Amino acid sequence: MVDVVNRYASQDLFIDQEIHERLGSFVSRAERDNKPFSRQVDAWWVAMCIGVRMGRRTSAIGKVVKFMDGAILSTDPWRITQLELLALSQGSEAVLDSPSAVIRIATEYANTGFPWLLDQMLGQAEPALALMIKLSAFDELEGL
Amino acid sequence: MRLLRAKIENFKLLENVAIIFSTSQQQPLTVIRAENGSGKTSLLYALLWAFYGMAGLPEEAKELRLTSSATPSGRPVLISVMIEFDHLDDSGEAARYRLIRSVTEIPGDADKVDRQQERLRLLRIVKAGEEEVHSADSVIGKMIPPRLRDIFFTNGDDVQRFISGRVSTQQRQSQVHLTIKALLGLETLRIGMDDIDSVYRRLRSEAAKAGGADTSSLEEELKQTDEEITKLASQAEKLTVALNAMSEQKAKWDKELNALKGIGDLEELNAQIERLGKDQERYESARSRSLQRMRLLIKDEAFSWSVMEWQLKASLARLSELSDRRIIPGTSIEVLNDRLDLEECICEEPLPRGSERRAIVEALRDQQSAISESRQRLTSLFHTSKQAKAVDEARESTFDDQRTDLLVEFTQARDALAEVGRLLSIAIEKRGLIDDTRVRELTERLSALDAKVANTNTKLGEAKAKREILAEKREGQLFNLRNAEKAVKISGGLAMRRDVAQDLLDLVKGTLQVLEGDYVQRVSTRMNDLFMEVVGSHPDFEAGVFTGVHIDESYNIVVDTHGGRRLDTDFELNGASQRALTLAFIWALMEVSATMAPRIIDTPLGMVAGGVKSRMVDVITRPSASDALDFQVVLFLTRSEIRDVEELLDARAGLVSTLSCSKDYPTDLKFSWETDHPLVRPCTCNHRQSCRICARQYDERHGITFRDEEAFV
Repeated sequence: MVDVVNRYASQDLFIDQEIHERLGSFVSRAERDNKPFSRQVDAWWVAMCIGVRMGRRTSAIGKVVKFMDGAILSTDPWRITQLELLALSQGSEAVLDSPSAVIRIATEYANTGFPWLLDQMLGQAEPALALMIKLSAFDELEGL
Repeated sequence: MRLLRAKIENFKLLENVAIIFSTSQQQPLTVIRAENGSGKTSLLYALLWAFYGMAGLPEEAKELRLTSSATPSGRPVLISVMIEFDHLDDSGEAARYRLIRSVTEIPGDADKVDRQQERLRLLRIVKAGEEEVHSADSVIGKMIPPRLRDIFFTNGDDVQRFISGRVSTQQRQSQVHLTIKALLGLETLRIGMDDIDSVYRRLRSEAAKAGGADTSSLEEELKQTDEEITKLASQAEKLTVALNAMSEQKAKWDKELNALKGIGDLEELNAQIERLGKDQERYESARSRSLQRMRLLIKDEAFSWSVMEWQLKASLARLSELSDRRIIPGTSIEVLNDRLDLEECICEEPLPRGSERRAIVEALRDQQSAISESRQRLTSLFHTSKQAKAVDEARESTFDDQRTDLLVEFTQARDALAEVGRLLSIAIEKRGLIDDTRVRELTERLSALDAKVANTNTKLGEAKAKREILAEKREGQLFNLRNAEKAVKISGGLAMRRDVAQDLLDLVKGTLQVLEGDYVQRVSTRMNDLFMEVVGSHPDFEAGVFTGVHIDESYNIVVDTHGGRRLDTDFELNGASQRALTLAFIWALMEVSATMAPRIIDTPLGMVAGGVKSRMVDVITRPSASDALDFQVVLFLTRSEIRDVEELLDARAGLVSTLSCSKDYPTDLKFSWETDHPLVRPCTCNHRQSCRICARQYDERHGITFRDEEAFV
């Protein structure tokens, strides 16, 4: 396996403040809590994937909160690869020269995916189960 | 006895009801058609009360008032039932009687009632008019013995008591045995035998005394042995009575315990709850595991590839294209440096230092160096993403497959958990219902009672064994006495009278044994024929259930099936077969004993349908083949019981009456009688007719013809 260099360690990761507040109830490291995500970055990543599937990028409008820096991406190096592939799919090869541009693209997709993601989990006894069921219909996400 | 007519006044809702019974030999059946709550049971009770008084009514009915519950408090009501019947006396002479039982009741508040002395009159109708028969109760008791009440008057449910395991075995056997003995007249013969025995003993004692000291002493010994035998017989009888009582008590406690245990056995329930608790933990943990795996799957690389597949693949394709175009990997700098070191171009032209050609290659190398960092990134991305894609494609199952498996796994665990939870709640609820203290108490009592029964049985066995030994001893003593008597002189007349008494005693004893065995066998055979006919079974038909029925040596009514096995009459016989069996027993008994008495059955065809129903009606209403045997049967039937047997009733029923109750208007009865209180009214409509009294909704559907009149009796 080729070693992946994390050029994003110094990049801050942001989430819309309101989303961040709502996200709290779905993230916990304690297994007994049965929360769908053990880390905020995991939720951010899933929101990004959903945003990509929806095909839209959304710039932050209100206040944003830094929840982590890019160093966290080193725990799952495959994410760095996918982040860059995603960035590459959005424009010229030069985008990879700018780590902040790559992170911005990911963040904008996450901004799109978060509201949908939170809506699916809200009020569910087992949010992970609800999410797992909803994720069957990717096609429905397109164009949302 | 043959019933002619009955008139009932103010008995429950039977305010003024007259019934005429068929006395035709060819049409021996009288049908009383009445729906539920229309007076059938009241009519049965009225007849029972007329013959036997309050003692004739079922226990639960004795406490009730005889008048209508609608009678105002304080108003005296005269209740009267008159029955006219023919009866053959012991000499075979037929006589006509009129029986009238009456009583005045004054209903009080609530359920209280002031019932005055009952009055019974039995009148013998002779040419000159009527003669009062004295000791009417005793005379009627002889004509239609109270202990045979269940044979003459039955209802569809009580009819089971000869076969039901719900009464104790001894009670059931005793009921069958006593009924057989009473109906066959064997009891009278037994009393006669006891009388002869006492005469014989007196004569034997007199003869021995006449023979002198030796014979007198031997007789004394024999007498003592006889007394001991009698004592042992009495002891055995007492023990048997005690065993019967214990058996009844045991049945009672067993019933209560079974009812409690019917809820469930406590230990078993505790074990079940523990088992279910463990299952619950197991399924809960399976459910949690599924959820945990769902969380892991959501953040897995496979999910990302699956969701962003299109974009990621597009970028991969773009990198491949760059690779194809040799833009990446950026290896040109190394090549150019090599060539400059070798001072020879790829095209083999020399590149000497300071030459114009070399300057061009050096400029190209510098340009490439500027973009190499970017290309290195692209190259690195190309390699890592190609590897990542290869890993993704090599996965045994896709995200979708894993997701589906997890959902199935979760659903199974959740459903199992719900089911276990449901069972657990039921078990816990059941456990709450069990009165553990009472279960323990009953179990202990039953255990103690079982020990007592075993002990009593042992004592009974010992008493019987002792009696056997004494009987042998007695034989020897009798032999010695006879030998001693030969040596002394005894008056010929006295010896002869004693010998005649003994011969007579032996004869009666033998006759009783033969008769009892013979009669039981005949009843058993006839019962089998009737039962098999009703249920439509043939003993040789292997696909059939029954191979026959019989009365065994212990007076049990037994149902046989293939392989010599027996069927439990309570649990392995359906309701129709149970009724068929009991009716077959009663009918066989009455046929064999040639008893001339009416058989009155309330609602005999409940739970009976189809072929069994028509065959049952056919068998129990079939005219007697014997001229000597007058046969009369009265059936109380609902419209639904009559359905499908109308043609049989056409042929067999000499008389049909209908009873209706005012309470059924307007829901069921078509016409109002304009009465201000509830009452039952009779009419002469047969099973195919209706009138302004009895017409019910939907009668037309069942082919009942309406007669536009009141056909009041």
